[in-house]
Amino acid sequence: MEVIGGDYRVGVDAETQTASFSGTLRLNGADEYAPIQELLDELLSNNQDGGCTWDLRELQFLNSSGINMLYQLVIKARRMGNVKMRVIGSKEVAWQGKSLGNMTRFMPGLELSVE
Amino acid sequence: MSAALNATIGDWSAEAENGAALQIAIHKGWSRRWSYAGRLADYVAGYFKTELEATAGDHAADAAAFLTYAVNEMVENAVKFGQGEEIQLRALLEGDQLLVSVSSCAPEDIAKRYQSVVEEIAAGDPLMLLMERVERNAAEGPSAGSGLGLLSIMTDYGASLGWRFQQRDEAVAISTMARLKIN
Repeated sequence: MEVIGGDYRVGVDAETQTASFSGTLRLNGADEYAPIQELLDELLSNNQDGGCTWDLRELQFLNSSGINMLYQLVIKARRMGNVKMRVIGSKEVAWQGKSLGNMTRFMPGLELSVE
Repeated sequence: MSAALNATIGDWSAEAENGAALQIAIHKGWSRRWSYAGRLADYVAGYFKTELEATAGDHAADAAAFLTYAVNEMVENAVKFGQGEEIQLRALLEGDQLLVSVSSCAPEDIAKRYQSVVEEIAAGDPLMLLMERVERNAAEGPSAGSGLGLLSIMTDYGASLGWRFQQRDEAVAISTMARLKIN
């Protein structure tokens, strides 16, 4: 399963229950993010008592609407109770060093590694 | 007749509008094109790259990241809330400070709402406001805007923000300025 746009791709690997992001995501608000949000929501729902991973390393840019979408899903995962969330980022990608740290504020159990 | 909307709020500086700067205008009629925000952001960051590498040393990458993120967010806001009027962007590197300002016009009712949002931001703790805002978005579901753009420029990039509102007949000219101290 994947969502592909002009300069981005978000795909889910069923084997590893990992969503991989690449490219530049600067869509206009929640409406334009809806297909990606649904994909990530489904990944979360399929892992109510398991774990899922977001691999953001190849995502060069993300605007605040996209950051908001990710934070919302992190809060949802927290509320589900038993989901083990893992987020992988890259030190090479500037926005990730700046904004990913907040995720653990919204879900203290979230495992964040910025490599 | 309501009172004229004229105010400066937060860390507003006249430098944002005077003196030598990179200055770009998106012409009236073109200013609803969403993709211009990202392209402008990439351009402005690229424009200052060499100068930042020469003057900011280890902080050059952080400063470029600030430009890419802040310009995109500020222009997105102008595209979203403007009336299709001209959008002006100014950016300058002066000493150890990067200043970016984005100006456009908005209808009075939208300008008033924006003013109350920025007054709250200017008076509060940005990180606390960001946390509250995200939790509120989660509780209330999708809304027109996440409200995170301005707050995250402050919390994630360490910049300060200022605003100027000027009444122009039925519309209000709004300038938003971001200032990053590079060190």
